[in-house]
Amino acid sequence: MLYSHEVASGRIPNTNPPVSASLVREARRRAGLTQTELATRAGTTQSDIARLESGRRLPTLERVRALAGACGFELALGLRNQDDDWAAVSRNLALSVEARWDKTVAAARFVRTARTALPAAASDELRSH
Amino acid sequence: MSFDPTEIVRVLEANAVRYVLIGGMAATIHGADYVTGDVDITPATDSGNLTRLSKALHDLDARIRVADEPAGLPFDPDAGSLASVAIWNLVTNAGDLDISFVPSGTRGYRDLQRDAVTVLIHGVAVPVASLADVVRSKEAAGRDKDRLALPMLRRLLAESVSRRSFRR
Repeated sequence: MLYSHEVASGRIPNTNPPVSASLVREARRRAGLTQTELATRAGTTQSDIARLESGRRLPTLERVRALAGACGFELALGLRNQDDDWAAVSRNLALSVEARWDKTVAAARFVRTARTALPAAASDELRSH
Repeated sequence: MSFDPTEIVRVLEANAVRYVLIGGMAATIHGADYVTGDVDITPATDSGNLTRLSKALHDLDARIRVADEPAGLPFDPDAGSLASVAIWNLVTNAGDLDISFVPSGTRGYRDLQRDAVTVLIHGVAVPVASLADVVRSKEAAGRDKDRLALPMLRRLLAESVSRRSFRR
């Protein structure tokens, strides 16, 4: 059995780090920063960043937002209605496999066309979907 | 260049390439509501299959996909050079094709092939990774887009409706 205090102490590596840890690590890597460089930007220590990224220390939401900002990113949070997602899935499940394939292809072609037709900013927004 | 994944799988089949479809196209075949613009595959890695894959890529006029060169860079791999790179991001005359020999969270073709299902798409038999394997791979990859889709994919998996829903 795995005890959380053993993970927290670092005696057992956390192989399933919390979302906050993944976000900090991903933001830092995307920014091309070392832990030390991020620590300098954020006014903390390399060991503090290491603990956050390993999941041994759980940061507040505000702290994650600040660290993402130090990496040049804005932390985007929101609530999605899972019932809306599921309604779309239910519609897909009513289709044949071939129709699902065709629908995906049509959506991909639409996005591709929109990307080439729209200004860069709007295209970036499409790219994120 | 039009996105025509049916042509990609048709050429793979015509060259007798053994592979498993993974990624977004696989997820949508299982019923997921997912937008994707490329075909992701995991091929078998024996030299015979890689030779056939090399021929298929030649037929598709595959080139290496790079950000600042829409037509891609020249690419003419043999079986050995294909095997030497873990992930190939390619642009073909039928759209983008990503080849990953060992997708995140999996152990490659034999691992994925075990639970794959074969579906018929416009007359082409397409081996598709199981939804469980698609979810496993996306969980391990941890990209933003995947993270957003995972709750829906997990629910789809939990309700075990996708396999029963296959209708041709």
